[in-house]
Amino acid sequence: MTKNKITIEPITRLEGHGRIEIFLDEEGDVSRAFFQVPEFRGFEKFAEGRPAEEMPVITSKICGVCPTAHHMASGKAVDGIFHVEPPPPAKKIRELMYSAFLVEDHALHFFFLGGPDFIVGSDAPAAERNILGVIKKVGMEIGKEVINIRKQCRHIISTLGGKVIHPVSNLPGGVSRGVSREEQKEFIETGKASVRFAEFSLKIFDDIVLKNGKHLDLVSGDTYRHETYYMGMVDEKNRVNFYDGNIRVIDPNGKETARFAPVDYLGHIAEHVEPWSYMKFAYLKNVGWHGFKDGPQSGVYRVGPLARLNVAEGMATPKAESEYERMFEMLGGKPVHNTLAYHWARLIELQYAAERLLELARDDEILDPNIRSMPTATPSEGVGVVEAPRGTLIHHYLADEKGLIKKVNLIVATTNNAAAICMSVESAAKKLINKGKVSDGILNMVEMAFRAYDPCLACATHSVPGRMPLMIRICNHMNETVQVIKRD
Amino acid sequence: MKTLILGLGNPIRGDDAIGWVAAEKVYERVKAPGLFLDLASVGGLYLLDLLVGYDRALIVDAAETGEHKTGTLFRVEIRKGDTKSSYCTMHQIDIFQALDLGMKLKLDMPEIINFYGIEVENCQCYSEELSLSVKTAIPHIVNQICAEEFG
Repeated sequence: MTKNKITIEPITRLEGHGRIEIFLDEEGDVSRAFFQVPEFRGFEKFAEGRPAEEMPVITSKICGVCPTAHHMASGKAVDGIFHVEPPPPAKKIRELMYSAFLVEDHALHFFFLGGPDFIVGSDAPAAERNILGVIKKVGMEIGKEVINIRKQCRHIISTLGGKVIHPVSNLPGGVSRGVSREEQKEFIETGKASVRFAEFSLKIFDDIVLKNGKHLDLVSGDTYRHETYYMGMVDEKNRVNFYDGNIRVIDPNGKETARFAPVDYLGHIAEHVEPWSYMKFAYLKNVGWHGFKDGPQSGVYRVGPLARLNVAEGMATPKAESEYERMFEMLGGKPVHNTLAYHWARLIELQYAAERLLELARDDEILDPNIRSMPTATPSEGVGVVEAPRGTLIHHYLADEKGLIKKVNLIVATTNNAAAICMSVESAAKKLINKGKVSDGILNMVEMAFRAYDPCLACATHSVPGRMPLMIRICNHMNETVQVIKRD
Repeated sequence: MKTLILGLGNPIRGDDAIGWVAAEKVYERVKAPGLFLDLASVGGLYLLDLLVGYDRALIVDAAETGEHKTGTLFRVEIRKGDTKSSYCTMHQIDIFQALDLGMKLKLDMPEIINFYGIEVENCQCYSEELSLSVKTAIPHIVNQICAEEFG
């Protein structure tokens, strides 16, 4: 019987629920592959009529994993609505909190999500490719260290954000609380610990991945390579910036094709809809949508750690800058198109976020009580953009003259990357599934492509106790199940 | 003894808020020294962060098993030693796995964790309203948890 459809659900180590569909041809080879998202819809309607200043608190609940990113983008959009610029101390406090979030999130991703594939091995049994496998390989202390650094960073977020999970501190024109001298001392210690942790993480990557030919081949090989455009936020010197700056776009050859203020995003980004997915696929307007294709003729672009490093001309902190130079030297220059290099780029960003956290913690301006500019203008429209751990996050609100929300548009990192994720999954599947032959190792390789982007999908916050099994369903052309492979 | 009542869920996703509502009501009714309340919209490793430092934890959460009538409360006891040593999901790491990881890392985890699931109708839309069937079940749910846990 011909096996012409493979379904993998849910994808392991993926936030929210996603599903990969692989369609095989009559020969049992991959013809097309997609990832699908059961998206929770209706947020725009939910927000309509609410006071704009509530948005930073509401939007932080959209996702149980990236609340701080939504809170930041939303806070900036609300600044725009009220035409008010936060004073420098408030901006620094926001960025300090955001840097702590980036450290925590990137550390979590490497050791818990993407890293196990490299540290434990992509062909190791699934039951070992997790943090416990990492601990077994690297030592118990690393597990404690990850927990510890996260705890310290979360302490900064809860202190400055007002709540540990969903921050509430961003107000139009600033923040709700300042920083005391005692808190500053704690934050400095956390900053120092974060810098050490990032250095240690990069050393592990160096020892286990870069010095292992097989793993290095994965990172630098062409299995997951796509020559796409890249987009990310940069400062005035074109260096990576997570909190503020302009958006820069480069083409597959590394040439700048756009550099625009966040408020002008609609002039550069459009969204394509496919009948088989709720998810919208973002593309570059001036190039156009020409399908799930690589190359300069396709408007598909990528965001996130590797994209940010590709669009930037450097990092704003010394240790991260040195790692940035090293990565591009080892991988043959810019831009790097190898998808699994996202993991390496993420660690370099971890280093930058840690250094930036320390820099801001040491800056006495965060002690200045001038933390809010009071809004006085009539509310209208605002766009807030930050670089979320997974990529560019855009919040755009339109309010009436009373400040009540009339319209909302959100473009999340995963929407920016959606087309490229489909391409990566298909590319990996085509190379790794032949004549209908499917094994746990091969499927994990397909999933590895997916995990590199660390997509955040439906943002489900919980499930009933009892893990979700990984289930692979193989169907014939009549959509009848002919084989089920389940990974408990 | 430090006891945590932990309400899980998302207050802007319809019935997903029931974990928060029920946990808050149980806490308000019992309010005793050593009893703490926390409400969170998290899973996975974030759950582990919340459990550390307590001797006992009661977790109340929405559940979509499809096996119970909407509004039904069911209990799952989790004890040290019940845990599974291997897993493959990460952000979707469940309570068993979080506890397992906490034990392996020798963190200060609760000796007793009781999970209360409440079968719900709709967590798939943005809303601050509970469905009628879940709302109607609240008094019974709170009575049952209080009776089971606090006598």
